[in-house]
Amino acid sequence: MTALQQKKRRKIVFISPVFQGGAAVAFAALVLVGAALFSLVAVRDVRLALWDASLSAHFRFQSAYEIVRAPLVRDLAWLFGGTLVAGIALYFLAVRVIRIRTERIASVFRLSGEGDLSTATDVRGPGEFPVLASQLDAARSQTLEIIDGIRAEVDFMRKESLSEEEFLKRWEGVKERIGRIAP
Amino acid sequence: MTNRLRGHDVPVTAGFTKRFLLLLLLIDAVGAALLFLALFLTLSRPIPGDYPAVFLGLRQQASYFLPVVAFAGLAYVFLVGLATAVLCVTALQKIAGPLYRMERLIESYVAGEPVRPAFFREADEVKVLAASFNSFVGHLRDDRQKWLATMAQAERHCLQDRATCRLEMEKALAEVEVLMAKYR
Repeated sequence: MTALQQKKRRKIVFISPVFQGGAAVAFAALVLVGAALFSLVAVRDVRLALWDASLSAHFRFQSAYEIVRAPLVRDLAWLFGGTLVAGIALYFLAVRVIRIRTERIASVFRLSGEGDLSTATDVRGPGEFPVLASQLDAARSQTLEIIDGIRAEVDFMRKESLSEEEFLKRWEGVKERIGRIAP
Repeated sequence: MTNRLRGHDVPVTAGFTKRFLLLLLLIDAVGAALLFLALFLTLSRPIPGDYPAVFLGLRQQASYFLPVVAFAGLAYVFLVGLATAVLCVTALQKIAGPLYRMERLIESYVAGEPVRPAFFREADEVKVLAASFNSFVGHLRDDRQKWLATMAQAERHCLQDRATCRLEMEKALAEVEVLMAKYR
């Protein structure tokens, strides 16, 4: 691929609809809830302040903002702070889930390297991690299947009294099977 | 069974967290500022006149405030919600991308194709997955080499002494069986 083609190649950003889209929807829902709560509270506070002020309308008011400034700013501060804190909490919750799942998959990789190919990864739920975990389990069980096959063959060759020709044929077969592991 | 990861092995780095939270703060701040501006412009119209005019003006403002807030709130949800969603999608690409590439690698492993080492970009997160996958494949390859070397050793013995060939091969098979015993 030339440098120009590489430059022109579009970078795919939206890779996982469940993982990325799910997080996007969760954060957007948080904004929606924050705005809805703000609207309810702000309408109540501003209406109350304006109705109260209308009863003392013999005072000069430059604008309605002069009357509702304090409750409006307070409600906006709550909206800002509330959505931010909830967003941060949601972020750390998501990071915790990502960390737990990543650690689990990484530890299964390590255990597999040490020889444990049968303990299930056991990562459930929606998103990319369970997909990766199930693929990893498939790869491990396939590897174990090959190794079990070799073991059975080796056992057979050692226990049975095979002819020289048959033994050599099976010997080559074992070598071929071993070659299939992590090519 | 779960091993806590530390240092460079952490799935999500502090830099990623800092960037995400700063952008979230910025989006929230800009959203709140725009909402304030919209409400300020609506409410800061001067109220002229005497007592009845002011009374009526304030009462009207109070009744018009609901649609004003509803409209401004919807605009806020659209802008801030969209910006936050875009932030999530672009930020999580640093995690979803490596996961996708890992899936493709494992797929090629299952298909029996030659496995390339997993390589993540500098900006990618969950790098620990690449390292542990490479270590897993590395262990398998080391063991495979050991098994094949044991068999090759027996074949060399065969070339030297035909009489003990079968015996050497059977010994090699026993050795391979022992070496394979760790896999369960």
